[in-house]
Amino acid sequence: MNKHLKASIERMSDSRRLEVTAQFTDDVLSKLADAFFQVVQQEGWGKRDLSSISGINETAVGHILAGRRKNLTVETIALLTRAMRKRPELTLHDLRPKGNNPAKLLATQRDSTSVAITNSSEIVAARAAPEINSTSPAAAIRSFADA
Amino acid sequence: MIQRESALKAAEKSGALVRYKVDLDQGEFEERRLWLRPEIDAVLRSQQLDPRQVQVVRAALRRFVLGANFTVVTADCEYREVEPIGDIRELRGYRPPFIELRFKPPKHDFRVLRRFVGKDSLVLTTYGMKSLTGKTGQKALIVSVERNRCEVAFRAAGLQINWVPPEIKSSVSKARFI
Repeated sequence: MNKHLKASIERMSDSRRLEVTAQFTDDVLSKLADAFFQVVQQEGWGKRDLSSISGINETAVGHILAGRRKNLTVETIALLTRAMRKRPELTLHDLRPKGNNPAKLLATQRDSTSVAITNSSEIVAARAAPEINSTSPAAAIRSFADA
Repeated sequence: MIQRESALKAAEKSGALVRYKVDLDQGEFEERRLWLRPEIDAVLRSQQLDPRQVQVVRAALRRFVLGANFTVVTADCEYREVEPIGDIRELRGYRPPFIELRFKPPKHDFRVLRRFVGKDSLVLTTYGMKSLTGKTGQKALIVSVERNRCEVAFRAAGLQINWVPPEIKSSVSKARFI
């Protein structure tokens, strides 16, 4: 019943786009820098050695690690991290608030009310129907939270 | 300890320092504390810097506040290759440690000089630009001058130099030092 319902979408602003990409780039670069610190301390390798291992130009390695490279490809990250004896992995943290899709909440409420309607008299159904139709998504969230 | 906390609160209240707050996502906590001098806060809010660079700065400061891994190049680091790579660079000179944070592209390096006021508690004091290729149009930073300025700013904010941890390694947790 709920599979065709779509949550509302909101377009990212330009500043938000910059913010999101800067945060992810910072996260990747900080991990690359940390890995580089480790190979420098443990293997005694430098940028030239990483360049020889990975096949990436030495200057490019320097620019990447120093955060001066604009577009960092997945391929470059894979090669560089493997050269630094690390296995790269992308972790996605779920930021979705649980049970907070207004469309689904509304539908859930409608479903549960319709069950109540079928189990009770027609008078109750007649009273309940207009209330369901007038329920806003925000109200649905509130009522879900209250429940 | 109580004296330091009350001094920091008083500095915030008087406007001598601005606490840097970040928007937390689910599962994130503020594990470190950061204060900016009002002029640095103003630069980050103004149009002086490229919007992309502002976001680069904010992303790094956010990572600091969230207590993520930080790389620190100490003053006695033997490896020249890591100097331009670490998040925090301890500047050479007398103790307590005086440190620099550099934010890279898209244009010139945005440099912020700063000092810890306790473990994982950092105060950004002065800023400037540095370019390898050309003029930045911004004031040049002379570390000795900025160090003195930082001490004046510390006193003006009611903070004491003896609160600064004597070693960089005791200033920040969850960091890799080299």
